[in-house]
Amino acid sequence: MSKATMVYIALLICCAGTAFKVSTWFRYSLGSKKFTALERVSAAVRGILLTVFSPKFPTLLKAFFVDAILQGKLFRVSARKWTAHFLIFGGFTMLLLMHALGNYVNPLVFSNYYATLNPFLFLRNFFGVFVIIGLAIAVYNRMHRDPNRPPTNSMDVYTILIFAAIMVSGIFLESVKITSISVFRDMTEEYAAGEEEDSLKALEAYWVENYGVVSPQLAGPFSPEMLAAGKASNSANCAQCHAPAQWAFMDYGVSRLITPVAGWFDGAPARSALYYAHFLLCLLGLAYLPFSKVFHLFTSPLSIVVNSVMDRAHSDPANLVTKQMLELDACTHCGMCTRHCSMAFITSIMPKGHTLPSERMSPLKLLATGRPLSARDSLVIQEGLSHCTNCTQCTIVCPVGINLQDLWFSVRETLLERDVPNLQVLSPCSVYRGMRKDEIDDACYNRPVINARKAIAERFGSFHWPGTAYAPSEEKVLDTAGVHLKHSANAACFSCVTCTNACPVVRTHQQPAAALDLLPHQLMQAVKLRLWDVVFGSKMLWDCVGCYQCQEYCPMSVPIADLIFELRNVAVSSTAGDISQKAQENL
Amino acid sequence: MSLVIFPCCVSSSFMGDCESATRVVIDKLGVEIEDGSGFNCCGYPYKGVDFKAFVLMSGRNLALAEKKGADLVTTCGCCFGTTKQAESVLKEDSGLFEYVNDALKKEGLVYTGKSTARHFIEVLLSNPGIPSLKDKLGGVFSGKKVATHYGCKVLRPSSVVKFDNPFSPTKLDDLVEATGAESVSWSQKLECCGAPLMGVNDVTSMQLAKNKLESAKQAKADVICTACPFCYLQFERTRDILSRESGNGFNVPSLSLVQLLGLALGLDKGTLGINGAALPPGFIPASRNVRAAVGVS
Repeated sequence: MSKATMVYIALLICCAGTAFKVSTWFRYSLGSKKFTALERVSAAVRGILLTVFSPKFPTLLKAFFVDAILQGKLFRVSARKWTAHFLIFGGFTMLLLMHALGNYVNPLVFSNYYATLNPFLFLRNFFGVFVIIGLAIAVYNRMHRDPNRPPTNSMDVYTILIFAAIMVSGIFLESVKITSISVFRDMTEEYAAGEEEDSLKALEAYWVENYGVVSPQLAGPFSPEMLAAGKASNSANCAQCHAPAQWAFMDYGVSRLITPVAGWFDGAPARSALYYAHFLLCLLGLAYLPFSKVFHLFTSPLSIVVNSVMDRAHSDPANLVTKQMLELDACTHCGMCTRHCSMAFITSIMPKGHTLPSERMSPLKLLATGRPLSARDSLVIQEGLSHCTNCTQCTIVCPVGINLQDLWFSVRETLLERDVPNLQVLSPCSVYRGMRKDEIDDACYNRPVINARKAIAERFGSFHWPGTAYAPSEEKVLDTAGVHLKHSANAACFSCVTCTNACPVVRTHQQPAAALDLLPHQLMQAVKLRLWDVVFGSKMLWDCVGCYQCQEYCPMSVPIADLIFELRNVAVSSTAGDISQKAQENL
Repeated sequence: MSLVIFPCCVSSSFMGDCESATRVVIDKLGVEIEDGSGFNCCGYPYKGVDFKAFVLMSGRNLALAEKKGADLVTTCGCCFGTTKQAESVLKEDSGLFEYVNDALKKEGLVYTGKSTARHFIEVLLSNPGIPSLKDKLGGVFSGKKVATHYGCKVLRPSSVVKFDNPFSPTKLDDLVEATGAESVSWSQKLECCGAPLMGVNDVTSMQLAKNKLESAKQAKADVICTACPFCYLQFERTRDILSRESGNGFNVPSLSLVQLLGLALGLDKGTLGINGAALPPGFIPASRNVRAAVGVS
């Protein structure tokens, strides 16, 4: 198979893969089935046209140059990451242009192009060093023990490995060529065919002495006359098209290291094996590109540009769905979101099996395909998402501009539609849902809260009055309770009803006792009597706003509001165990 | 103790402009407050579902402040009250104190109780202080009526937050009156805005806010000024929904304290994230006079 055929095959796979990936942006969604793929394509085309001919266009251009090409956002977030990334990106791009595509690109810029002449000989190494230093920083960043850094996954390893392998094979190939006597002789046959044998010998000596060729016949020290003759021959035959090998400083350095074993690598088979290793690694990288993390080469700039001009208030909803699918592909797993996540530290201390932002992306990709998630996966994602405090830090720091918070919102709603009760919805984390109520289906909006309350009521439903109020099993309820509840801080309560009179929630109802099941003072009495089914089934427990009016006014200094918070903790911790056990059983 | 600003999740999510404007307001008032980094959520949403997590979260923020030798400054009533409560829990509950410090070791942090949370109001009252504020703001809002809303967690439980008299607070009123505005008395002043129930029980949540908006209107207030962004969002959202549903009856708009001060300092309403359309005509002071008053050329 010719090399050209191989290039075309790799290119074909790359293009087909890219086309497939792009098609998924329009076909997949996180639960939204409102739009067909065709509608989304036409919405996208319309959106692009409208943006190009709108005043937003300069914003888009600025985002493209500053944040996509120069990676300004990455720089603002982490100068070290920017350095590593820019070294790899810049170095590799230059190598692609002036080395891989050198025969096509360089003649456009330079009139006299030979790969062996400067500046090309030097620049290949110069940019190669860029990539290698960048890769070294990346490896160091990943190896360096940092509790806030998310784990390195197999895609991260692949990405670093493929770049490293391309670089190493290239450098090794070049250093072998520097030492190779057969390459030298091939060259002299081609460019110095007219020379006498003595003169060729002198030339060889000159190259052995000065440019690192390892000759089996000739070894120094050489006489000055011979070297002078060699120099003359070199000037006449070689120098116009070949700069001194030292200009390729990295290759030359490695060639010095392999000098003792240069003989093993001299010869066409070894050289061509090395050549094909380098060549095929590049083609492998190319063919696999759309399926690997390196695809962010295209998707990240797109995400940056698209997010600079789109927002949920003004953009076509169909395009918002499409944008999220594109964003899933734009993630580079850099871990910036996790590093700045408000829950990162807490998660590391209290592992609840929930995932941090950067680790949610690959399960979300699975979810987007529409394939059913395993119960465990959906539980894990749901846990992570429902514990999110919506602090927006992830979205602010994402170097590729992904609107992560919006992504979490979409997924959370999709998962909440399933009927696994989620107790976190009873906390003020739900404020975020409340603020975005307009975007949620009416039928789905209240259900999670109802489900959660029901799960808790059921958990304590078995503690029935008139059961033995002080049975040991029931007393266990208090195991997880806080100090106030354990010490029955409400013992001093004599039902003066001051708390109920002070409660603003009570006052919002015409018939508060019916609406809330228990009024605050009744709740205190029910706790005293250990009527757990009544306590935990009551609406009052969850409708309390936590304003502390009751506590402030209580003549007996009963910490009523604090007790309510403790009761909620008891309810959630006991019920959460049941829910996850049930979910595990369903696995 | 130096001061370091503590960012609030709710503000970042829904009031990004106002949050970035806080810095400008602080600088214009000449208060020295540093920017902090590495903080997590104050733990407020966790108090009712995972108490330990709440204390740990607040404890970590306090420890980060302690490392800088600073106190936390927040413009959010909930962040303030929540962190204050964590401080008091850590003081009283030796088990939790040990637990938190043990966990913090992982990051080389420790909380001994040196740092505390301070509301922006307290900070401004001591520096620049009311007389100097009055000079600076030059009575830009004279003739305007403001209904002050402290927010539950700024005032209560008073034994924990120790902010002001919980039944008759004056600190926010003093601050608002330093702009020249009149702080009106209104019956619902100390009540809850209902925000914590948003998304949990929207009917009750909105009823609470509705009562407050009606009360502010009865008191003929031009605006409500809140010491908490959470309450601000709740009022504005409720006003928006109610005026859509039932005409123009609920037309008292809200401003957070930072926004009110920002306007008084002559900042642009866009910078402060204010929807100017809702404010009564003529409320925003003519910018030239203000600039002269503040001494900005």
